[in-house]
Amino acid sequence: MSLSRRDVLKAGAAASVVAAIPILPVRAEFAPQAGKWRKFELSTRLNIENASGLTQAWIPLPAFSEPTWIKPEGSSWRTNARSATIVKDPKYGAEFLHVVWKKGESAPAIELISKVSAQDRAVDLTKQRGMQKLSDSDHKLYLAPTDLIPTDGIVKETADKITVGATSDTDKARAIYEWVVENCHRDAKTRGCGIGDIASLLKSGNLGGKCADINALFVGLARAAGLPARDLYGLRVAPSAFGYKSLGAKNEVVTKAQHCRAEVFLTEFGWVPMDPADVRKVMLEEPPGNLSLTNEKVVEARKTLFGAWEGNWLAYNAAHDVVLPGAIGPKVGFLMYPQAEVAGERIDCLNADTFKYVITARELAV
Amino acid sequence: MKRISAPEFRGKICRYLVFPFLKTGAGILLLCLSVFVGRQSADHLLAAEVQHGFVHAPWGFCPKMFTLPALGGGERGLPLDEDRPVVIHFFATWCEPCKAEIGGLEKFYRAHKGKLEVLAVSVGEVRARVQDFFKQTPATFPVLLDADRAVTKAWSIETLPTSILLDTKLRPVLAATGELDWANADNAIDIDNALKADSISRSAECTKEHPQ
Repeated sequence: MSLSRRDVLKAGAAASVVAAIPILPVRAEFAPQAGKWRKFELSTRLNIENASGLTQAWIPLPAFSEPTWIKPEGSSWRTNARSATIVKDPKYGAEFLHVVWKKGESAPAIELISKVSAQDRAVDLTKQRGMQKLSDSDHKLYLAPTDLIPTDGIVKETADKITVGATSDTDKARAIYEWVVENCHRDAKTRGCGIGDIASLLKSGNLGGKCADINALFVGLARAAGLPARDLYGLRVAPSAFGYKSLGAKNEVVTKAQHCRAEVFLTEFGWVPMDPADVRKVMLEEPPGNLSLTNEKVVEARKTLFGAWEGNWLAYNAAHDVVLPGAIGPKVGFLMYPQAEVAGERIDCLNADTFKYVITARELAV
Repeated sequence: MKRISAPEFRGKICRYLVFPFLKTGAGILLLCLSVFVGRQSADHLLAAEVQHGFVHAPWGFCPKMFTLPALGGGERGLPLDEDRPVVIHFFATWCEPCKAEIGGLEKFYRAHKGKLEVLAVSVGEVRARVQDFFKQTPATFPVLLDADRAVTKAWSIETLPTSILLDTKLRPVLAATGELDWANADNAIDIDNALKADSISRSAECTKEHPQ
């Protein structure tokens, strides 16, 4: 076959046109699937300035363990403290490092290194797995109210209205999830991840907040509807592999990347991952921002985050109302941020000017 | 203790606001629109219970006395050192309506200083965080720290902000949940009337304890 000059010119022109078309990045379908374990190293460095009197700190450890998706691999530390002890919360099993410096230590400091493996989670909600059983103690624990998550009063009334007509566990969970997605909103002004005072949230009629508010509301409504549910307090440690800028760590410094997720126990499937708060995060933050519920990325996140989540996040614990041993100040509603007291006064864990800590995360070769 | 019933409240609204407004066609149109919008938001929020403004305090019992650490040092609480009416104001620095209300409460406090006390109770927050907040929003009324929420629970406070006016005998006479406009003349009149009415009609001391 011979090519004429005209054919060659045509082909060249076509190639130029193709080359000139901008190549748009193709976003992978948001479909987390188990199968690829990832290993992360977390470093938490804490320095307390202007220390006086007795200084103590309580640092959450990424110790939540569930063999199908997260495996803690231990922690080590370097510190000038008098003592550093791993403490286990007796009710929920949350682990944290209790650090005590000698009186008068002018520059209390600690560096804590933890390793954790995690993978994506996805529960196929089209295939029932037969009757799943939760132990009696866990069933009771994850239906119980907490200080900030009551399951009576306005929470129960709201849950009853949302789940009216739903018969199966899955239908109830679905109704609550969709209601939370549609009625809550992420409020960028909320400090940290929010407080999680869900009765106050419902009574106020303003369902704005962040993950510790929105996912706590999901958990409270689920418990009030008779579904065991829990908040998992943790940290984003890597960017999303599915192109969601808002659903991952931006870089290795993850000091402010705390994120709380939720799980609900469905008799048809066992523990199922949920994250309605992240749907609202996608709506607010995913470029160009302020996306509607009908936006393609939002629709996909809403569909996926009922039953799946990405393994770019680690769980510290599922604890509420945690008593900090040796503390002068009150118990904490949840333990996701390092806590400290200087001379008997709790430091504001969200004030970077007075409580300096840096958390970094890096992925290790598996 | 007398409360305004829902039908009585609706009657007042209709008499003073709705009927004069309905005399215009625009009024009818706007009313229909507001009913539609109200129905939509009620469907979505299901259970918003906040009312804006004072109502007669719904408690049929006496409030629990308390002592809490004060932000400025020392301790304060109930009973007061002097027999004065007092507003107990529950708030949190994370609560947006609470933040908006503090400035108005401060003006109200200054205007009534010497006649009426204000005790602001910070709910469930550590001193450092509350201190930072009041650096940005200075206030001269006492701020008390209910860090473990014990007083908030004992008073059955479920909504922030909540304000309760106690008379000189420390009996609850008015309560407001949600943000209150402290500069609103109607609220000031409510306070004056409630205190007058209670001082005349009720001479008994509080005897019935809180059930908790």
